[in-house]
Amino acid sequence: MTQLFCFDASWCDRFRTRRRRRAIAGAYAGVLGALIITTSFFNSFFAVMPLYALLFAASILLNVSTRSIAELVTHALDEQQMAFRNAAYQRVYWPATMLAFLGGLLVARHSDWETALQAGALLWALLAGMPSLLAAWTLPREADDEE
Amino acid sequence: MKSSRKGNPPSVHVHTRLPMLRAERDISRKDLAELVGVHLQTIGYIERGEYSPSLELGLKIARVFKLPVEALFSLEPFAPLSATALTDTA
Repeated sequence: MTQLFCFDASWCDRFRTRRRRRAIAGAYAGVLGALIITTSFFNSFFAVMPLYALLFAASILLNVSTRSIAELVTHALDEQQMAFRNAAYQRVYWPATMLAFLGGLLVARHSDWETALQAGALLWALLAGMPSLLAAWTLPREADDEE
Repeated sequence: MKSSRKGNPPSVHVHTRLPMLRAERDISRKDLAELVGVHLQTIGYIERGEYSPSLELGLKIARVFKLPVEALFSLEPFAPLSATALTDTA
């Protein structure tokens, strides 16, 4: 899995400089923002599907840039990676639970299936990406990062 | 307990002589990482003070260099080598 997506491969190092990592995090946040705005205008989940495809591509880049420390299984990480992962999850805990609460309210207010699907998908996109997004922004420079 | 740098897990700052010893013994970061079973970047973070190693990792690194762990890591800054050398010869 790790090798397949080059999450830790050295030939992906060009995506791991702090500057590029942060640029990828910004792009991911931009797609998320576009998704929120588009979802509020279109009542069909399938109308915003292209943006989810874009978000998926951005999430792969985000995982490559962070060596996927937020998503890999525990035994694939060492103690430093676990410590940074724990710090990222701990920091997003309150915003994530608050978002889950607001998402729940939104779904409860609009009981039609299409809105529930859109709210659920948006919530999932927001919550699932948060730890990686934070890690991409806050991880220190890697040893050979000279940018 | 406080965070040494923004974005890092909370930890006390641990000073290290690792870069100097590694250069002296001609051990690359990659070799050391393999010997102690961590990621290559972990060694870099330790050397730059971005991450404080666990006791277990500190002991493993010390074992590679055949030195006591306090020769490699300290809570206080290490005295400059020149000062130590001058004291030793006096």
